[in-house]
Amino acid sequence: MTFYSPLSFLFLILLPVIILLYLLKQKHQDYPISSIILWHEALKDVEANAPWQKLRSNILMILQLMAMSLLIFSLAKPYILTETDNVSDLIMVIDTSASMQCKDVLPSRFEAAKKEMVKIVENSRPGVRFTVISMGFQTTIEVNKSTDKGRVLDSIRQIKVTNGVANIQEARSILRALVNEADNAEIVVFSDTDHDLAGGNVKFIEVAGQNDNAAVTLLSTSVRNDEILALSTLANYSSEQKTLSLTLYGDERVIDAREIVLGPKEIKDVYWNDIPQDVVLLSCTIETPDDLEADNTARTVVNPHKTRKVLLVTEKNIFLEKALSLIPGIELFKTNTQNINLQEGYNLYIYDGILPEKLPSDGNVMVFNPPHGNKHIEVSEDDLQPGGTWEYDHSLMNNVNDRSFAVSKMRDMVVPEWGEVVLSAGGAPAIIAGQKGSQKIIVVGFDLHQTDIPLRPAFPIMIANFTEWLVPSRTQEIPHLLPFENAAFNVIPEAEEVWVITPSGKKVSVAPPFPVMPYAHTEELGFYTIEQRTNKGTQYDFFAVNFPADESDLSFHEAQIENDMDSLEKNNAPYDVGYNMTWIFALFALVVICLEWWVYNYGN
Amino acid sequence: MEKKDILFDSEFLKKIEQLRINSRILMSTTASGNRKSKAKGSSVEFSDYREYSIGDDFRRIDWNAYGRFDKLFIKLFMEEREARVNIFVDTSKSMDWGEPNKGVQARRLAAALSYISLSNFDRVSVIAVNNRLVSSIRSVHTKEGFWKVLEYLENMPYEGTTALNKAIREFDGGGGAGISIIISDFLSFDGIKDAIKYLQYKKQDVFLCHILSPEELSPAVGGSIRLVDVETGEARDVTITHGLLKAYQRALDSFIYDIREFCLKRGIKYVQLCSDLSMENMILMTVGEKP
Repeated sequence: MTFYSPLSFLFLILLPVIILLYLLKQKHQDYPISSIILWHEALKDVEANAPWQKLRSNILMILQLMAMSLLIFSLAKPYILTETDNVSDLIMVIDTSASMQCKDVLPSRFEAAKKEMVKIVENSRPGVRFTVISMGFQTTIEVNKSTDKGRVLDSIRQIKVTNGVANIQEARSILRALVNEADNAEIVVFSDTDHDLAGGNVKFIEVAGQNDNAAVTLLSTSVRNDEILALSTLANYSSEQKTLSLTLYGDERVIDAREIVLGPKEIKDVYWNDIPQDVVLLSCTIETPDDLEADNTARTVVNPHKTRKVLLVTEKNIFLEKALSLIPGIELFKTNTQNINLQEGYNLYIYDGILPEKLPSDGNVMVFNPPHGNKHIEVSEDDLQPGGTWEYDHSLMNNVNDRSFAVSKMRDMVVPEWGEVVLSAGGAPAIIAGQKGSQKIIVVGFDLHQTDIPLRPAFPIMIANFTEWLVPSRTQEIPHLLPFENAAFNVIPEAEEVWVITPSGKKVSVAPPFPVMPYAHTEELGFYTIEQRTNKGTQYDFFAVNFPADESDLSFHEAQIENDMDSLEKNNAPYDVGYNMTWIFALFALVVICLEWWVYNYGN
Repeated sequence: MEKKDILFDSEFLKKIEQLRINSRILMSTTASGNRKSKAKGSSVEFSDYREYSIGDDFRRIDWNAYGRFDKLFIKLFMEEREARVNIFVDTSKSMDWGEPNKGVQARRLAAALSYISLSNFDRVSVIAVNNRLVSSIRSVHTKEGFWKVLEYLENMPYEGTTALNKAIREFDGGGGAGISIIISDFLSFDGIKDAIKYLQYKKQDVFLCHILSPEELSPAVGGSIRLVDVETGEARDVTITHGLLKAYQRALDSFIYDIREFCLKRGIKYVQLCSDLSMENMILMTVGEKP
């Protein structure tokens, strides 16, 4: 046993003070009485009943000395030492990934891990520098090298389990940096999976038990012949056969329910037909309770392809017409340049060699060969004869593997501040794309008739890319995401304000400012609503965030541990930090004080 | 002590004037008084007839009887005689203690009893005793003598230890049968029983007034203290505990019970008074009648 606050022993000076007080107290205050005769009788009586009565005041003094000594010992912070007590830095990593929600260890793996951490902090000797790291989708250093146990405990209690997947790479690099910094650091990882962080220099505390879990790992839909067909994948991760009652909900109403029998470790696809066409929010839930509830529901959003109206203003451009007609869901309207001022009712306006004085406001715009002297794109009087190599690395050029275009002449354009170069020829911008306010614009700086591009396989791909970007088939590109994945939006051009409403009902403004940044706070599972307000009304779109299927597979974690029996033995050894005796001494002191009180009052 | 502490207002004096000290003993003194005596005398209260013999006062011959029986009878009347009332006041230091002070109350009680006795034409002696017979004022009679008693009581000092057995035995008996009232806390080292026996032997009708202060009856004291006997100066360091207080209470109860039992056996009137009683109640409890 050692004392971490030996200075407290200075208080031992108080012991002689107590004795001195007793000695002084022996000179009792005089209390005159009429006659001592009756008191003699009383004292005789009392002493006859309690032979140690004469010692009583001494007993009180001894008890007081004992209580005081115990209190001083308690102040001196006595610890029972163990081997691990010589560490100066203790780095504790807690896994906040979704699988830690599992209730095979009560109250949950995560809470059990936190409890263990609190115990370690409380029982560590003073002066240990604690670093607490939460390892989830993001690795966060909650406390960095703090010796303040109160603060450390507070931050441990505030750590929350997430729905994400642990980002091992990030955790590993942070840990390595921390270990390099500290000389005598001990790393303790609280997780259900031994991730082998920072090499073998880690104590792993496993918080996992025998679990029983089944999950809906996938729910997806397809529209075939105007009929919605859903596919859900069920997985039984337990080693026993399970009968699961499965329910399909559409817009929170039950559409269908089935009973599915799954063998041990079996994965089964379940198809659902007869889904009403107007259903938007589709979710599939295992109603049978298990150790991990969060993965019992998978969600998706049914997005039937919307028909997008495209107005092509051109004198004649067969290439463009052909390329656009290949894209499904596009309704193409052609007009000649005389109807240039047709500015309403289309999702996309394509101007070929012409530009109106005022750009339409209710749709996005694609311009080919912008005319000289137009008000929107600054174009030099002289055209360029592009030479050199064609360069691009923009996402709009995805799947295009051709850099040998031939262009006889193209406009010499100045890149506006809202735009970025998609394709350049010898350093000059050939295609510019960007978002001006909420309106997306693509400017192609050449006439298609002056190039060989339409004759190349890249052309329909480029046009498809451009169209998908300008008039996306969905507001949210993916109908379902994993937690912490970014949700990128394709807002309608006339949107003035855009909000995201989380499953718990929190309304977060994402725009203005435009362009809309991807929404990153997708840590909550459930359906998110995208609310877009335009001057014509409000449009609602949805996307779902699902439990990461990797985290459902709890048995995988078990297997990994079981494979390495040596490490299991090592890992299961409790992390011994010694024992803080402060409370024991304080408790004894309290007991002695109670005893003294009893002796004082009823000691005879 | 201030005179006003002892003196009573006239209204109170009037009330107690009507009291008599009940005493079963018929007085045997020769002086005429206000009490029935065994001797036949000249009062108006008829007692008996007796045949006339020479030398009898012929004024007492019952001539009606002579007419009926033709013999000379003389009427005998109860002679009313004065009683000798001896009031012993314990003047030891222990009596000058307590709140209200036992000594003050004892003197007031003594004064009241004297006044009552004098009003009844009794002869009153007040005797101060501690460990000896200190002083006394003897054979006061008539109400005028009351002022002497008051003066004596006023100047009575409280000092010395208590040894009532010894002190009372120094009393000569007051010249015959009488009433002896002892006002004391009876916290006497040598006890009281021998003194009572002695007084009864001296044909005294003994009457004990046991005055104790509230603090003696239930001490309100705590912690570690040094008990100092005001009489002897003897000190004792004690830690007052719940248990000790209970033991004290037992000792006190046994002390009172002992005296009370002794008095009951010997046909002695005993009254235990608390010094916080009003004078009226004290007299009521002592004399047994309402003033």
